[in-house]
Amino acid sequence: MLSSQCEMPEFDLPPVIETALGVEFKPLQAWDMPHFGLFWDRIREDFPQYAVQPPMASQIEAFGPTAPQPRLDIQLMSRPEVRCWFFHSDADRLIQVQRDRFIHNWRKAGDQKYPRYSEIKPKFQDGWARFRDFLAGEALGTPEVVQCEVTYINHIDIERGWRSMADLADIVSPWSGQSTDGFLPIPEGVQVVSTYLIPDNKGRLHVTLQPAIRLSDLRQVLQLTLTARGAPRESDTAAILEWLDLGHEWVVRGFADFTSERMHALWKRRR
Amino acid sequence: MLLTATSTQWTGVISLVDQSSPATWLRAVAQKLDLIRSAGPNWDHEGGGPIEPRILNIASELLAPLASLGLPVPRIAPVLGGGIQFEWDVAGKELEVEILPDGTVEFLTADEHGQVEEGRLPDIPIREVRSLAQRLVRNC
Repeated sequence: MLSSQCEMPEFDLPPVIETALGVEFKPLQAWDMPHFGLFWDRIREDFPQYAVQPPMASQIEAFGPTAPQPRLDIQLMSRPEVRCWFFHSDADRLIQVQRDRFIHNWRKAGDQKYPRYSEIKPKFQDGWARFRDFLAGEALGTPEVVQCEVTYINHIDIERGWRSMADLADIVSPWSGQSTDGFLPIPEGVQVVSTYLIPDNKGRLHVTLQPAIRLSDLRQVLQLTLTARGAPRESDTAAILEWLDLGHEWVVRGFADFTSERMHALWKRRR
Repeated sequence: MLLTATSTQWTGVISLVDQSSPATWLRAVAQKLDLIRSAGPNWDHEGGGPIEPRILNIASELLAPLASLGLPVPRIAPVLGGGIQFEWDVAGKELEVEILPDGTVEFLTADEHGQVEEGRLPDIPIREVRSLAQRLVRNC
């Protein structure tokens, strides 16, 4: 059950630079290369540019001691698997499509402010509806959604709260920065990876913190990525949106819990 | 590792957790650009103003694609008027790329026989600069 939305943490200057709302569904058996172009034709007025990317592997969350172990399936491919990016004319939105995925991204452009989940969710919903309509029109079937995903990517720029890994303990709660014997120097690089079960096996929250270079301006950043994944109770849009709301709550509350009060002050936490 | 390749992420970043050559190269270049970025007014003791973010971004766009070429880290310096220059000297071959204050990009190359070529490049010449840089490592 979701907590009241009015209790969710909120920041005036959150460090979020990108969000992604998406679904994974059972691979569409009849989907093939021409369908990328046919779908693009349907959305081209709003999404005039495209790019081809390597496909993403399936990442279905599993639970319990009998959960199947991940394995590498080697199959003979009769057709190449690709992922297509479709860029919105506003340059801050992206739709990603592959045979088993649909994802809507928002990315900060220039000094743009984070538009809030309440504005982003309807845009995912609109794109998903257009995709489903396209599939129906091409007799490609109704996607059987097996997982939803909410990802928030945060960039903590160097000199905005940190200068080196020695400052990591001031940024994130789980890292103390202490050593027992005082032998080791300041770490050159630290990667923190943690996972949290969402109760009743509704999903899992993955939190990753790592140093990175942002390619657009070659600035050093700490990238803090929170991804919630889980299966909706049904495959219909209402159930998908319900799960996305749950995922969003875990990402936002997880972010507030994982980061320090010192950083919350820099980001102007409102509640 | 480029984080967009296998995830839903759109924003291009290179993780610094792995110590691969491109990541290490980019870190060194980023640190040099950070020094220029943080240089205040009169950095040249002749009243020079800070380098505009627009110029730094052009430099970033031109340099980022060079990370995988195996080049040494370039010398990077601000130039009078508010531009940036980066240069390499590899086995007797030289390449200088200068971003002028108005954003135009000029280049100068010298091969191992002393033959010089110079000129102006088109707007945001990512492909052209990469091609010039590749000449430095060819046949090394």
